[in-house]
Amino acid sequence: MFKDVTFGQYYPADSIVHKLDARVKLLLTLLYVVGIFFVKSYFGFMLTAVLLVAIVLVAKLPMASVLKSVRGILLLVLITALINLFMIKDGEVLVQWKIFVITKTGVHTTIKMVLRLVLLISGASLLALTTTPVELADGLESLMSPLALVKIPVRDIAMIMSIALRFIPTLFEETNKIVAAQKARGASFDSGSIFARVKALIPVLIPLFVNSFRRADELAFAMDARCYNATDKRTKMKKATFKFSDFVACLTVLSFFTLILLERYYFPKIGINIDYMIFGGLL
Amino acid sequence: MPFIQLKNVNYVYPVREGASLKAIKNLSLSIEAGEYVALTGMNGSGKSTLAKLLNGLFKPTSGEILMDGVSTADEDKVFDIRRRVGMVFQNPDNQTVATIIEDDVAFGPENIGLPRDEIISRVDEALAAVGMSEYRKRQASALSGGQKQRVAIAGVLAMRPDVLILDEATAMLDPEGRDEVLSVVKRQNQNGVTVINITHSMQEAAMADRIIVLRKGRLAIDGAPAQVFSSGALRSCGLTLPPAAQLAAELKAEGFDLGAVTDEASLVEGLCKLFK
Repeated sequence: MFKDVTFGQYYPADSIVHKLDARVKLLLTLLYVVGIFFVKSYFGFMLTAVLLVAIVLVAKLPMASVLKSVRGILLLVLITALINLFMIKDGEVLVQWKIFVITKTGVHTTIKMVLRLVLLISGASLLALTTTPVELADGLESLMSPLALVKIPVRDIAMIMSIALRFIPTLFEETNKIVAAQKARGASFDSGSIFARVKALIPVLIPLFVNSFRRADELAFAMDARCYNATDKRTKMKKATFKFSDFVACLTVLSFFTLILLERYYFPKIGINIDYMIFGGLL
Repeated sequence: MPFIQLKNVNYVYPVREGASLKAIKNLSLSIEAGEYVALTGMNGSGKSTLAKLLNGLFKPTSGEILMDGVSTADEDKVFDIRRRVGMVFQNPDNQTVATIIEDDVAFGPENIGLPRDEIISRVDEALAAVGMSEYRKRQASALSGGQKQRVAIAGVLAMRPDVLILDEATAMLDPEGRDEVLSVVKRQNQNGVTVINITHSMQEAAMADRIIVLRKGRLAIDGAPAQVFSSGALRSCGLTLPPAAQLAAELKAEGFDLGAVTDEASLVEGLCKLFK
């Protein structure tokens, strides 16, 4: 049942976003995340949302897959929102009941905070949704390669990451086998208290660990036999190339970032307030 | 000069402080380039240790192994020897390094730092040689056992080896997978690659030009399959004859001499001759 399991959130689809260079996607996601923290106005949030929806559409992802990642932080968002709503005491008071005070500034801050978190998480999830773990590991290796100059074994770290990813389906399969074998001997995994259930996992984990060490030993021999570490100048078959679509992606996110900065720092100087132009007296 | 030459090779495993295990004892033999050798013996007879000695994963405790004139103990040449002596292991899952098949085949050539174009052409060639070209972009975990072992062979072939060692590479496969792997190996041997197949199956051993049997780390029997099967020496090494040879041996005891029988084909031939 785990034979074809793809680890993580990866959503396979044939789109330009999926085919982008993983390094470009990593850096652009970083830029997007930084960009969101500069957003202060409703216009900025709208702009971010438009960018996000556009990427989702181009990537041929279902909206639900993006929202699913938000579900994970829903509780966090809710708690932070409540704290913000009741703790901010400055500004015009809207509602007051005993010690609970809701102010206009509080409402605005809360709405913006929720928007920021939701857009942040869904934006970051786009990376995991459109990039396979292997591509991510390769991309990270490539981005970290300058660290090799300060004697950090980037190549070995990348090899460890990719082998770990490679063995996930194998270990899943093995776990299933061990669980079946222990069940056949009368072990029960789904009854009793939580403590009893956790304890029931020990006879699964021990053989799993022992077998993993045996596998690691055999794998080490196999890698040695195939000349691992033969030369410092290890080459790579796959070479990521900077395509036209990568250029377009960079341009898009960079212009988004620039617009965010302009709207926050330059527009107020020349007396433009887009939020006021849209919402007028509502604010 | 023979391609592979073992001179009085001993190998001792250190088990723990003060204790050790002699796995290979005073072994001398030679294998010519292009031979198809089956290496067999009971569990613990030293087969796998010998395999690991042949490509420099282990160094002889004493004695010497020469691979095309180069000692496997030569630190400067060890990677060259590993490239020339490829090895396929028993468990396909424990020798696949990459998730995607073509990446796994490219692992060896990448390790020895070949230029990118060269790697791509070698991966193409190796996958075609084992009949797995159409699977190149697939995930290795989704393949059958026989397919996984063919990919492992492709990974070795991409290094353009002189010798291919199969360390019980068919032991975990179903009969279909085993036939797939053995036919790939046979073809490579016909192209001039020296093959050393380590196996428990006498039927598989019968396919070789030569059978070498180890017993407790020593050379017990060395000869052509027909010769080895008719000598009656296998039993003393804890091995049994393949079914066809067993039948021929029993018929011979009853007075029907079928000549040299190693497999079904030679059994049929012997029977036909007898009834003429």
